[in-house]
Amino acid sequence: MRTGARAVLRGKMLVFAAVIGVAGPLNANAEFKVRYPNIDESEVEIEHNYSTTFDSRSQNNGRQSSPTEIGMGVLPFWFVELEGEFSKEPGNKWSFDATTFENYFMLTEPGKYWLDFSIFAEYSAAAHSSEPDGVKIGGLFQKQDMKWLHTLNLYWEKEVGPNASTADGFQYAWQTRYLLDPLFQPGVEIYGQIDDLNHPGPFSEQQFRAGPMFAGSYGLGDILGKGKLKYEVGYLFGATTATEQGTLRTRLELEIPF
Amino acid sequence: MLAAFTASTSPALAQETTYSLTVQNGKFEPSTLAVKAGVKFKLVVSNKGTTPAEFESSELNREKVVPAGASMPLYIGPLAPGAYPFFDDFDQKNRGQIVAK
Repeated sequence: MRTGARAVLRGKMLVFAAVIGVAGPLNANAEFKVRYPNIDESEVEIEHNYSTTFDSRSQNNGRQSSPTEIGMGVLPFWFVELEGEFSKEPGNKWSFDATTFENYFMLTEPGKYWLDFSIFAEYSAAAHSSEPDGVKIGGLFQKQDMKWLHTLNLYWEKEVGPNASTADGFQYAWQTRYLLDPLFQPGVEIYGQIDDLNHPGPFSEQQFRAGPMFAGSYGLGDILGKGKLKYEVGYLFGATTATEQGTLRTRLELEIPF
Repeated sequence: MLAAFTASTSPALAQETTYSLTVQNGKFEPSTLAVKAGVKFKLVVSNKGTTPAEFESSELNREKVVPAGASMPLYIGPLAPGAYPFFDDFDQKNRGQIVAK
């Protein structure tokens, strides 16, 4: 591809990513994202996630969520994020659900050992006093094999406070991505959820979805002098009756080093 | 757990291969770094300048801020043969590449 044509393509992909990234209100709470264990100290990140469901069952069609968060690498091994979570149930209006404080603790130097590993811990304070808060703790794992990047997230979650459920929830996510080009990296991903580990029930009653995704980044040196814009887009097919038949998810992130 | 990870590392890391890269006056030195393909290595990035720099490469899946006057290690590979561009995120015109052979 000639240099001029490549620049045009880069510009179009950037516009496309920006449109997808702001498809919903700038709010918070899309859980359909894979978290990466490697953090960047001395960087500020502003991130917007969005998801919407597609289902022939009207009560499951058009369920949307859209968290927005801002984060910073505080120490070489510690990254924090503050997130506002919004969601919209089918037929209802958008609501502000919670304010969430997230922490990443990077325990291994990227690439030094066989596996990269971080601990993730978040506390989510419900927007309404009658609703329970939430705690989520988990492990983020990543393995790079040449140009293949494999990432696994495992989470335990628990409600705390008023009207809290006694259930121990479990979530898992997997992503395999091919580092083809900075602008375009295709992959596949899986998201699963068990509402109560003590009573998991049959697989058909658990949430499980899988599908293709692609991601990329664009340097903002010509615009801001530094930093980059990252995007992710994925479509997930529901594999159980407890899961919406389709979910579109997007992620747009601005990273600025300081 | 970390001990288990280190015990299971490849023999290539046990005899660590190290390369050096310097960033100063808006340039990486060397701008093209030749490394051996198929071997994990340690890259020490030294910032000889007066402002922070960030070694970043999407192809290598690595980014690391290097404060002024400091040196920081990165662990990379094993790499398949080919060229892997990198740049300074604080000065995106400052670019280089790692060539694995």
